[in-house]
Amino acid sequence: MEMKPEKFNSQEKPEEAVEKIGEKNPGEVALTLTKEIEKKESDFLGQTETIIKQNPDLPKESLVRLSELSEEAHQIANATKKEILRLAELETPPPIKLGGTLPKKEILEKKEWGQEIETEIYIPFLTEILGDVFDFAVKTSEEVDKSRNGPKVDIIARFKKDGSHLAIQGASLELGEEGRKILNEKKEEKGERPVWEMKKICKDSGYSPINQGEQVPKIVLNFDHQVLCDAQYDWVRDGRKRRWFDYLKDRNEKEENKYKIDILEQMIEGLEETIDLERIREIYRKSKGLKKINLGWSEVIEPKLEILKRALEKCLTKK
Amino acid sequence: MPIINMPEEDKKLISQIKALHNKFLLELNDLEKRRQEILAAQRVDNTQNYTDKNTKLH
Repeated sequence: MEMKPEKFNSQEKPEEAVEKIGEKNPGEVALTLTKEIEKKESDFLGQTETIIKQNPDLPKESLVRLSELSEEAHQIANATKKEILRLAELETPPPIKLGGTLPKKEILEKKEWGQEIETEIYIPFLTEILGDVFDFAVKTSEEVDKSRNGPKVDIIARFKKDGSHLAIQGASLELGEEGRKILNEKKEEKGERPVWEMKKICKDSGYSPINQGEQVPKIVLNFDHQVLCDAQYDWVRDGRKRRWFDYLKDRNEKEENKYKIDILEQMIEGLEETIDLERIREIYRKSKGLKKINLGWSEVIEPKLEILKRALEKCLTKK
Repeated sequence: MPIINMPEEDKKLISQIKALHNKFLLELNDLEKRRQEILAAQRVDNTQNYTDKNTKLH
């Protein structure tokens, strides 16, 4: 009945550990292993019950000790599961407030945005030729027409290559078919100011602040819940690559946590100036064929900011 | 996600998760040993009682 631990230990190299479990990500591994823990716990408790039933003559003292073992197994299993889920960020994090305006969130980000939503951060990195800046965008891939929250918004903040904030370049809609059609019609109208300061919809292609028609290299970060699970690299002078967030983290530490706050504050301010909510509302209303629509700032932007804040929080504080 | 593309952070995270799972298995294993010890002690007691009773009969 002895349970053999897997051939794994904490001294094992991460690469080796990953190879043993195929291509699963931390979230999947955590879920698989917590289920296994539940199964083993259940087996252990069941075996104790069987032992007690099959041995009616066991003295009270032995029964008490067996019950204590079951309780201990239950507690160990619970604590381990909790710790694993915490590590994999599968536990609901406490709500984060931005300027006291965010609605309280009690459900997982993914649920809130719909199970099928693939949320990603796009960071096209621009070469030195393009001005030593790269863009930071948050977007989702769900069609706007299916979203209960209305148009999807890209938050695109420009940073200098040294990590310092440059400006909110603009934000773009990720529209559904109908939304795209409407936007194209709008763009064709002479003298019509585009919905966004940026003059093109930036979806799967890069965006250059110098030449808007030019495609630039871009690296996609998978954004699973509030967790950044892929790496963004920035070229350094000697040609090595470095994670962008590592740079931000270093700088944030040097500046005693102020840098992270600055980024967020500047992004929020920039977005408030850039995004024309009335126009978003109008496009969405037309795309839905509605007479009136109640779509506020909070529904459009704040969920994005919250995701971003969590990502920054995680990436800048990770040891 | 192919392993080759998996960020180091994820690899470390998986490593930590697996280590926790492994620790749980070891702890459960220890509980199982303790359970066997309780049962073994009981068997010894029963045997001893049986022996004592038979000795007295003789």
